[in-house]
Amino acid sequence: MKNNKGFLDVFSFTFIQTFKSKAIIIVTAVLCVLAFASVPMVNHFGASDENTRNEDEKNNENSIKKVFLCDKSGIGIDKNTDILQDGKYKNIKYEIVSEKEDAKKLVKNTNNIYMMTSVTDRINIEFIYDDNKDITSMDVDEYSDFVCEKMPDIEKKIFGITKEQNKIIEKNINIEKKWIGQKTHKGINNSVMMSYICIIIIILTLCGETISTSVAMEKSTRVIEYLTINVKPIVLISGKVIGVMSVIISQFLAASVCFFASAQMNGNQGTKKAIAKYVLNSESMNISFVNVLIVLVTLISGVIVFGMLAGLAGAAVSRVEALGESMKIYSIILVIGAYAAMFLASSGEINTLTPKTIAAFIFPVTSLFLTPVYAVFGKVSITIAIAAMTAMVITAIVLVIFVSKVYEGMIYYKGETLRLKDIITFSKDKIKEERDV
Amino acid sequence: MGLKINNIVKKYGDKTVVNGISFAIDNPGVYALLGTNGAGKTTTIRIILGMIDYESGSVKWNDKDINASDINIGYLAEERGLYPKYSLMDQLMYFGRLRGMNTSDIKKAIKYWSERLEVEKYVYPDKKKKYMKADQLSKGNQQKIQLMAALISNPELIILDEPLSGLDPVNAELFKSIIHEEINKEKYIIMSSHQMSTIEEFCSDITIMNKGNAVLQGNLNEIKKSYGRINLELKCDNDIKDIISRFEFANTEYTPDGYSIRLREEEQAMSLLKELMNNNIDIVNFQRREPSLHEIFIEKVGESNEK
Repeated sequence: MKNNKGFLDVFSFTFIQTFKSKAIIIVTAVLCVLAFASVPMVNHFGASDENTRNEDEKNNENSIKKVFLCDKSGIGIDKNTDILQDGKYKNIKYEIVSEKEDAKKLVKNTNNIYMMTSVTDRINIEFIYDDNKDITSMDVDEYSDFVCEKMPDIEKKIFGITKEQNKIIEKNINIEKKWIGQKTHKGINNSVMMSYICIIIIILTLCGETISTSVAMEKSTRVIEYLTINVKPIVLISGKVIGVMSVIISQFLAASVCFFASAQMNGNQGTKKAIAKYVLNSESMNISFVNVLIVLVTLISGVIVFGMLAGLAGAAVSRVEALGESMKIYSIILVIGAYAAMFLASSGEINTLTPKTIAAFIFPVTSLFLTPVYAVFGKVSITIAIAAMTAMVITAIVLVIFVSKVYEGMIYYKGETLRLKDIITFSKDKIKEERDV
Repeated sequence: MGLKINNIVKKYGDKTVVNGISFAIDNPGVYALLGTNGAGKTTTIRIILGMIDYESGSVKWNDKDINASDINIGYLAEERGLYPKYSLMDQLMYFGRLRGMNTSDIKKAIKYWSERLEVEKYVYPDKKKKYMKADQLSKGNQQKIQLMAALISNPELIILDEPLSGLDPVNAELFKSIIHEEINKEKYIIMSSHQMSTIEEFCSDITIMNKGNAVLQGNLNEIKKSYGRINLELKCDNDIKDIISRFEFANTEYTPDGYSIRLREEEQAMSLLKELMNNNIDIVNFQRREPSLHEIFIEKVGESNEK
């Protein structure tokens, strides 16, 4: 019986049958094995790298050369900077400056940072740095962590209080970070960015291929005729897209579990630190309900957009063998989006807000590859993230409506592979039919 | 009660594929849609099923606009469709769920139909607990599974598009017996077929379509009666060529089994019989009969094509 309720049936059938397919089982197994093996591999190659450069040295790398300290706290932090010269920061220089000094001038075009301390109902520490230079937000994050760690020692030296008392005071340290220069946000570690883009490419490729093959197979075997008397074509395609999407995402979740399990079992200290720093560093991420919601909605609607395009490609052919031709447009859009994102991210261009980069963050073809990860790390403003999400949701809705108009006509079509202009003609005819009625 | 199709028109671009077709199925039984390839039968069926839109006209079930969500419809498509790589059990369960059935009813229906259609060994797992997939079945057995899918929900309206094509005689008989059972259950059935003998066996009412138009409609018996008994089968032991040539029949064909004659009027038969008897011809067979559906079909489609 033709209804909207068939969505769950279509979804569950697609999900289960897709997961049962040998190709998916093999790909899942390969992904899990690769994810599990990646940690020992990184350990191995990392170890050989240490022949020329030992890990301690790497950990001791510090981009901050000098700290201009303006101590307005009145408790004498400026007299105890020796405590802040420890570990990787042992060679750091401190210059005490008065609050009359222009902090921005001091740090501009240098690898120095400005630190101002003050006391209200808590200890406030404000950092100012120039993100046009080598110092990254990660460096400042690490340094601020170091200062917080050392603050009890400074307090102990000044006041002679116990560690238990220090723990209470420690909670009341307020950190504020500011940066100067043209940049409004700082870039993300390149390997994190490239990993994300690669994962999205793989997800979209697998989703696209599975959806288009499934639609073309239903069409070529004429199963579609039986299905469309029971459910509306739009319910059918939506159930299929979401079903396949869920399978592919489940594959990546399984691979992720393997990766983290392997990291836990096989990872050396360096690997664990890298994972903690780049992947699980909640402090460097902007994990708020609104942000997570924006990222999820953008990701899901982005995959739906590409899924619908793949569904159209599948419906445009009469034989599964002809899919290669109809998937060209899908592949071109995917490649353009991914390469544009890769270029902007690797060149660092995306870190400067210009009309071009704003468009890249918002335009659905590129935004799926950029905005979610930049939003997760809080490197793009909430306004741009919302604009990108809105654009993606609107595109998904428009595409779903468009597909609903042409899919029904296309799935009964038998003949040569339909081209883009034919699909548009289908859509126009359908709109005309509705207007005439 | 029943199905009423009123003046439906369907166009693809400038081409009219169904042009004002109307018919009604007031009582349970089998209604036949006949026509050559491309006549518009499948499009008409798809319109009834709500699979495609149409320009004008109406399709009513029990005097209300047809809505596939309100009716339990079973459909056997002309081009059989099963997922080649999925297990038959999974597919039947899926089709049942799409029809709004619960799992227990689907399982009961699968059990009943797999026994009735003698396909239990394909539907249920083998000793190694492996389920069979559609591409491992012969064409005939795939067709049986397809019929199961069509009948699984015990539909009140059944549409069978070429149900017997590609079946061996044994399986064709099995399908026929199932169709008879469904007729006895007072189901409304629309059947499309090129096999005229099958149509004659089941159908009381027909529509013959050609190029989207209905070229002949009505009760099959009445249509045949309206033609009269103008077909004559004649077999004699003597040579009767000269006698035959004295008459102006509509058509005369000689076969090894005798003459097959199409009369212009029924009276010609008596005249010919008298002439044969006057000439002391030894008559083996002299039989007048109504035209077969096949003959009516060929004639009507031919006339329509000439226009």
